Amino acid sequence: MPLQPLLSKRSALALITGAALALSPLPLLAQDAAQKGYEIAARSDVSDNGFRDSAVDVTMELKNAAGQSSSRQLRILTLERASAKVGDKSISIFSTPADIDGTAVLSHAKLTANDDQWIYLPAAQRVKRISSSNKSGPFVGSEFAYEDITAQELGKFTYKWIGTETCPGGGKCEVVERVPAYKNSGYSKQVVWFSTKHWQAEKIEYYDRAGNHAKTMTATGIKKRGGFWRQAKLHMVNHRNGKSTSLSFANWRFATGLRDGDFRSNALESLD
Amino acid sequence: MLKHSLLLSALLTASAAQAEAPRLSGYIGAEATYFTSEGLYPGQLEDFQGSFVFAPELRWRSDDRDTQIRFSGFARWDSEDSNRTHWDVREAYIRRQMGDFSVLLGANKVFWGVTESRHLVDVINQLDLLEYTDDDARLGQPMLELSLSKNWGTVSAFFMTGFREQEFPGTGGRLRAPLVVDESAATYGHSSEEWAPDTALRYSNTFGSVDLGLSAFQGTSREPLLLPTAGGTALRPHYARIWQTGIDVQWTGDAALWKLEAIRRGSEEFETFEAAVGGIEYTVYQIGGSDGDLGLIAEYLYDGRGAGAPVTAFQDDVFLGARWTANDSNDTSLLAGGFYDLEDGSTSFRAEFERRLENGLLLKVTGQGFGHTDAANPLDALREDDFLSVSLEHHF
Repeated sequence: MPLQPLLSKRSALALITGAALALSPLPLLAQDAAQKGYEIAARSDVSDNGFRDSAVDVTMELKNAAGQSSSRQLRILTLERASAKVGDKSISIFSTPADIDGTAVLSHAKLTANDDQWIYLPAAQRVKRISSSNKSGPFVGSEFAYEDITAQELGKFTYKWIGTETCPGGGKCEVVERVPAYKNSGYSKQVVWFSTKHWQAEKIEYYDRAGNHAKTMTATGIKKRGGFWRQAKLHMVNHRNGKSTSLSFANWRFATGLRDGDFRSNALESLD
Repeated sequence: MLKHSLLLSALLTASAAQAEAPRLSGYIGAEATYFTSEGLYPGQLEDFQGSFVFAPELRWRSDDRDTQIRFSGFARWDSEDSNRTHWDVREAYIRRQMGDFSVLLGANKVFWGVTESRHLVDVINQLDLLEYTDDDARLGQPMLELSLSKNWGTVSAFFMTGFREQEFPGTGGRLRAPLVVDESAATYGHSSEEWAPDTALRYSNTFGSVDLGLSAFQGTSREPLLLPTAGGTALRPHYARIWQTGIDVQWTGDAALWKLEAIRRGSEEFETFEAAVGGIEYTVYQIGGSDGDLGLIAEYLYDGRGAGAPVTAFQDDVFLGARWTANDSNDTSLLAGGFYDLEDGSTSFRAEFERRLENGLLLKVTGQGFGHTDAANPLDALREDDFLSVSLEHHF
C-alpha cells in the first residue's frame, strides 16, 4: 500500500478533527485523543521522509553529577526504507576514544520485534551478532538508552494527544503521550512536544516503568538542512543520577549514494 | 599469473584517483607479567617478564570510497625471551569495491566463527602464540580475496601462498613445552613448503535470527605436529597438507545466544576427524539495578582427532565463563572463564579485565592459572606457568 496518500488523508482528517475540537466545548473523547495523537505522530514521521540515505558526524559529550566530562566521536549512516512495515538501517562508527576507533554497530530496525544488530570489533577483526532485547540499557555509557536512539518508527507506539502548549524554545507545540508497543522497553510512557512549525520533537519526557519522570531530552537548532528538518543538538538529562549526555550533530549529508550492501554485517570491516 | 597482474594494474590505476590524506593511528604499550612460580624447565625466566609494544596503523581511502589501502604493523620488545621480541605485518592490502563485487590483494586477517572458548572454523590466519595475553593475536596472511555480496548471501574465495609458520617461545620463555621448538627444522607435507598454494571458500548469510557460515579450506595446516628432533634435544614442527570443511551458526534470541561451530578435517598424514564447540551465552541485563550486563557462557568442546594429528587439550571439555560489561563511559569489562576436562579432570582458568583510564589510555589486566593437570594432558607442561599481566596502552 502506498504510504504517502494514506498519511496525507489522515493528516487532513486530523486537521478537520482539530478544527472541530477548537470550536467544541465538550471534553475530548478518549478515542479522539488517541486518533489526534496518532495523526500528529504520523505527521512528524512523514516530515522526516524522502532523504534516501544520510551521514552525519556526531560528538557525544558525557557529564557526570560532579561535572566531569568525557567525549566520543562517531559517524552515523542511515539508509531509509520506503515501506512503513520495516524500519531503517543504520550504522554508528566510532572514531574516538582512539582505543575504540573503527568499532561499529549495525542495526536493522524492526517495528515491534527486536532489531537485528551486529557489532564489529576491529582489534579481533570480528563481527558479532548481538541481541538487541536490552532496549533500556545505556548506549555506550551515555544517558541515551538504545531505544532512545534507534529509529522512532510510527508503529512502535500507541498515542494520546494531551494538549497544545508553548514549545520549550518558543512557538506552538502539540503535546502527545506515547506508550511503547514493543517489548522490553524501560518506559511506561513518553511525553513528546512536537513543534507545529516542522513537526519535529523538541522535547521528550521519559517515564520509567514505575511511572516516575526519569529523563528529559531537548532538541535544539532544528533547521532545514539539505532540504530536511534536522537538529543540531540533543541533550538528555537523567533526573535520577544527575548525569547528562549531549549529542552534537555536524555536517549532515543526504542521498550520499549509500547502498543496501553497505548495511550488511560483512561490510562493517571495510567501512573505515 | 597474467590474470593476477591485470588485476593488480586495475587496482593500482583505480587507486591513482583523487583521495583524502592517509590516516595514521595505532598504539604504544608497556606490559609487565609476573609468574607466580619458577619455571619447570632449565633456562626459563624466573618470575618477571617486561615488554614494549608498537602497533601503528595507516588507512587510506579514495574519494569515491571504493578503493582502500591499509597497513597495520605490530612489534614487541621483550626483556627476557629473544623469541618474543618479534614483529609482524598484520595487514598490508589494497581493496577495491566494484558494486557487489570486491577484490583484496595483500596480507590480511580474516576471522570466522561464533563461539567463545575455541575458534575451530577460523583457519585462514596463523595464531601469534607469543602473544599469550591476547587470544585474538594472529599473523597477517598474504592472499587474493574475491568476494561477491548479494541478497542471498556473501561468497568469498581466498587464494593464498606465503604460509606463516607458528612462532614459539625461546629457552627463556614461559608457556612452552619441556623442549624448545627449533623453527628452522620445520618440514612440510608439500614440496613447495611455505609457497604451496592454499585455497578457501566461504558462504555466509543471515536468515532472521540465524547467522550462518559455511567454509571449506585446502592447504597447509596452520597447526603443526611437534616431533622430537633426531638428537632429542628440541622439537621440530611439521606442517601437513589438510582439507577442512566447517559450519558456524548462531541463533540470537532475547537474552540467549546459541552458538555452534563444527569441522571435519582430513589429511594424507592422519585419519579424518570431526570436532565441535557449542553452547549458550545468556545475558542478564542491568544486573542488580546497575547499568552493567552480565553474560553467562557455557560451552561444550569435542575433538575426535587421533594419532598423527597435532595434539589438542580440548577432546572432551566444558567451558564455563562470565562476561561483565559495566556500560560506563570508561568501557569497563571483565571476561573470566575456565575449562574442565571431562576425561581427566584437568582445569585451567583465565580472566581479562579492561578499562579506559583516560582518553586514549587503556588498562588491561590478564590472569591465567592452572588447577589440577593430568600428566597425560598437554596442559600439564604449563602447570607452573600461572601469571598475572598488567599492560597500559596509549592509543593515538
